[in-house]
Parts: sequence; structure tokens; C-alpha cells
Amino acid sequence: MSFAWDISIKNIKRKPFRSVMMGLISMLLSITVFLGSFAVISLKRGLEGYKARLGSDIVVIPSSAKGHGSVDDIYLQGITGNYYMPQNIIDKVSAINGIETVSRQFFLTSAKASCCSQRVQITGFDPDTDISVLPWIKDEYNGSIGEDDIIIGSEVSMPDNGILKFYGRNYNVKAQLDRTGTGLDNGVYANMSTVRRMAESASGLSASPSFDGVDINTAASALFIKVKEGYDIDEVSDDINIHITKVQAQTAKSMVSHISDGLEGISGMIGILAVVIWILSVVLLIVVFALLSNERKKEFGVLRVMGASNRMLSGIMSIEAAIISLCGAVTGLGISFVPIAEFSGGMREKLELPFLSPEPLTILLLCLGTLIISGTASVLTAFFTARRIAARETGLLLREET
Amino acid sequence: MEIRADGISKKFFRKGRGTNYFTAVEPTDFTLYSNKLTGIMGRSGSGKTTLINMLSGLLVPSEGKVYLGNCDIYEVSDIERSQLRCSHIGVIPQGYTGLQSLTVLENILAPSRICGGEDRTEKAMELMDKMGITHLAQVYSNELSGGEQRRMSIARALINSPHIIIADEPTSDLDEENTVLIMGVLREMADTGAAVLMVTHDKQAAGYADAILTMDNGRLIT
Repeated sequence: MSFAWDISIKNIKRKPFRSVMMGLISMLLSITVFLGSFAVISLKRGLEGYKARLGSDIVVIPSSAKGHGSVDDIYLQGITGNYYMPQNIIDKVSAINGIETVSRQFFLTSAKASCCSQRVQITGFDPDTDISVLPWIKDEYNGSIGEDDIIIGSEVSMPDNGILKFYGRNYNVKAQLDRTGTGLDNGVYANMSTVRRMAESASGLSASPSFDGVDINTAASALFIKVKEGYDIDEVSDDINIHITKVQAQTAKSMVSHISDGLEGISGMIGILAVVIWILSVVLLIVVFALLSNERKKEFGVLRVMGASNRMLSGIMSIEAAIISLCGAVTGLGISFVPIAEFSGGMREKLELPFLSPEPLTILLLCLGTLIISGTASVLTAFFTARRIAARETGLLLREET
Repeated sequence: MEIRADGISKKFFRKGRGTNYFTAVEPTDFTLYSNKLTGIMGRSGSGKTTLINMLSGLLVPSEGKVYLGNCDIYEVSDIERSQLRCSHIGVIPQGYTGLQSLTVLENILAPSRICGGEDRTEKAMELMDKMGITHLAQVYSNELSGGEQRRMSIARALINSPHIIIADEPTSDLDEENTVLIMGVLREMADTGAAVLMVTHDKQAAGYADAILTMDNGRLIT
């Protein structure tokens, strides 16, 4: 082992208070960098998830759904309810110029009663025309969704026997989806005929939703529309809103941009906050190193007397800083992981924003980046502090301290 | 090997009112010869330490040159000058200068490890034996007494077998027994070929020198 490495390690061991203080600053730096980046990436990922899962160009719901919130609340936040469009309205929408495909969905909210295992939003979709549910469940489940089969969201409790009961009938859970960070995680998904039969079972029960005047076999709660190539999505949406009463249409783009604006504001704030704390940590590092440099003038002077060059002194300081900051940064990363689960849930619930944790590979890269940033900041600060001391003449360094 | 100073002087900048510079060492010519133990005496603040720091390559003179053999030590790079100091000059600084993270043995070996030469553990053991600190080999330097610290510093300065030894008040605050021990070692180094320069206020120590110079108000009086 070279002398520089040897004395650096011994300095760290023999000066535990000094080492721990420097390590704490590096820990603070790494927590800030990691959690700040984690929050920004998670919010952006949540938005990407929205975009990917929207699938369609336009979403149409009946005007009667207004009491349940706006279209984007209903669709993106999963605030759904029991509202339906009759077949004749669906036909009118389908006839609008520029529409390529129309995929129906049928919503049914299960009751919190003995008839049902859990209170969830049940969504029926048509596997033949679907453009919004299948694309994101195929990652988890690639098989067919037959009669009485259901797919459940990540927040729905998975029963041990794989069976959930709704309105007195049992359904087989085929798969549980990945977390989306939205109210969609509380949903249950089945093919259209399964959900229609579920609704039929419900209509005979006291705890059932009201289906007055609704033909369960033909009605739909929402229409997901794909616009033909060459047509303007906004114009098609406007056509629906102008020409067809009792429905409201909204483009997917507008839903996402509404959320996107909010997300960018919040992730910007988090980013600024992280940068401010980061700068403060670096300033703190510089102050600590400057104070330490005064304490270490004599040591540096003695090393120079023994024949150490300025380069060797900078090396010793840098090695010490690298070891301490890496230990601090690794500890900081460990601590950062503790609140992440709570933090993600809190963000989603309090801000009503999607918060989707990054993939493991991204987290790994984030950890590496944090280590590099924390290490580099400490090593550079140490290096330049050492250079500043070394710039003073050794004779004067010794005189100041002896 | 000799050290020669040609017209070296040192001025320091002083903050405050009035004259901004004061001269610590007036232009001085000086040669430190092999096989000689030379002493410099003088009042505090007369420029003794400044002079020997310039001769050791630790303080750049305001004017003049310092030659180690034929090499102008302030004309070469910091790395080269550090290497010259490491290989040829053993400096015993004033005060207690042990590196606190290292044991006595590690302190003594440090210059040889900085130089990157051969393993000198055996030589370190010999020096510790000569200085009477063998039993302290594994003790940390901040746990030593003043006399033990000074003996360790001298052993450390001698580890690379330097041709030139420069000692700044090597016997200050030491009892007679330690003074005799340390001066005996410095005398022996001079007798075996080294050029030894010592700053001292101690008349007993001065008695070991071949020549005594006096420093007065920055002027070296021979």
C-alpha cells in the first residue's frame, strides 16, 4: 500500500469525530441528490404511465357522469361510478366522421356489502376492440380473458384461493397488474360479457346500483375512440360535443397536458429544492474543509519537511475525502430507501398525482450517479483545499503552528 | 555534499499601518560544510529559523540562490525539490512534530516511504535503539513526552541517511540527559561525513559545535 493510502486510512481511523462529521455532510448530500432525483423521475414516469395507458385519442362519457368529476378525473384518477350511455347514443358517436375504432367500457362499482369481497371499480372491456386496457395488462398477463375471469389492480387484495365474489358470484383472478400510481390500481377488469352478467346479478340485489332505463346488454359507460389517420383529433372531439347531446368528449392529449402541467410544476419545485440543498451541502463541505485545513497546517508542514510534494498532499486529502464521502454517500443511500415507500404513497394521495417508482435498473444507475456526484464534490473540495494550503510556504506553515 | 547560499534574503509582508514589508534575513552568503557541526545562535526574532528554512528548501528566498551541490534548489519543480529534500536533507523542525495518526515506528519510517525507496525497518530499529525509544515503537506520537517526541523527530530525520542535517532548536525544553543524547547523535553524524546545522539557544548544546555563528537583526555574523 502506498504511503498516501496508508496515512489516509490511518488519519480516518485516528480522527473519528472529524471523519464522522465529514461523512454526515456527504450523507446529507447523497440523500438530497438521490431523493430529489427519485421524486422527479417518479413523477415523470407516472406521467408516461398515463400516456401509455390512455391508448385512445378521445374518451367519451355520458353527461350524467359529471357529478362524478371531469373526464380526466374519471378516467385517470379512477373516480368512476355507475353511469351509462344507451346504444343509440353510441351509434351516433360511432357515425361521426374521422373515427376509426370505438371501444366500449362498462363500469360497475361493487357494493360494500356481504355480496361482495371488496368495494372496487369494475371495468368491462371488449378484448376485440380494446385500445386502453389490454396494452397495459399484457405485460402481466398474456392469456385470454374468458368468462368469469378477472384481472385485478395492484391495490386490490389478492385472495388466497384466487377467487373474488361480486354480487353473489365467484370470479377467478387471472393476474394482478403492476402498480400505476393512480386510482386505476383499485380496479378490477373483465371482458364485457362477464361484467354485464355481474350487472345482471347486481340488479336483483338491494345493495345494487340503479339500472333504471338502462339496457345492460348494449349500454356502455365510456367510449374510447381512435381517430383515423389524417383527421384532426381536436376537431373530431369538437364534432362529438357539438352534434351529440348527453355526452362529453375530451381528447387524451388535453388530459395528459393538464396533468403534465401540474407535474412539471411540482417536479420543477422538487428539482429546485434539491439543487438548493445540494448547493448548501457543497458550501458546508467547503467550510468544513477550510476549517479542517487550518487544523491540519502543522501536519502538512511536517509532511513537506519529510519530502512530500504538494501533489502528494493533495492526494492524501483527496483519498481521505473519497473514502469518507463514499461511506457517507452509501449510508445516505441506505437511509433514502427507508422513506421511499411511504413517500411514494404520500405523494400520490396528498397531491393526487401519479408517482411511479423507477425500474430497478434506473434506481441502480441513480445510486451510482449519487455516489459519483457526492464523491466528486468531496474530492474536488478536498483537492482544492489541499492546493490552497500547499500554496503557502512550508516554512510559514510550520511557524504558524509551532 | 554541501549547501551554499548566495546572497539570500527574506522579506515578509506585514498587514497594518506603516511599512508593509520587514526584512527577516538581510542578504547573506553562507556555506554549510561536510564533517562539520555548525551552530547558529541569536535572540528570538533575529531570523535564525527563516535562514535555515530557506537553506532546507522550505521557504523561497526573496532574493539570492541556494545550491545543493550544483543544483539551485529553487529553480527546480516542487516534485524535484521535494525529492532532493527527501534524499539529501534531514530536517528536525522546532517543536513537537509527530504525525498523530502514526505510531513512533511509522513516523520514523515515513520519510523513507515518501521517498519510495527500500524498506528501512531495520535502520529504523537501529535509530530507535540509539535514541532509547525502542520500547515506544508501537505507541502513537501524541502519547509521547517532549523528550521522546524530539528523539523520534531526530530518528525520523536520519532514516534516509541524509548528507545534510538541519535542526531547529533540537534541545529546547529538554533535560541534560536528553540534551547529551541528542547532541551526541548530531556530533556523530558530523563526524561520519554529514554537514550539520543547528539553531540553538542552549550553551551546553553549542559546546558540541565546530563553529558558532551569530544572527542579529537578520544579519549573520561569523
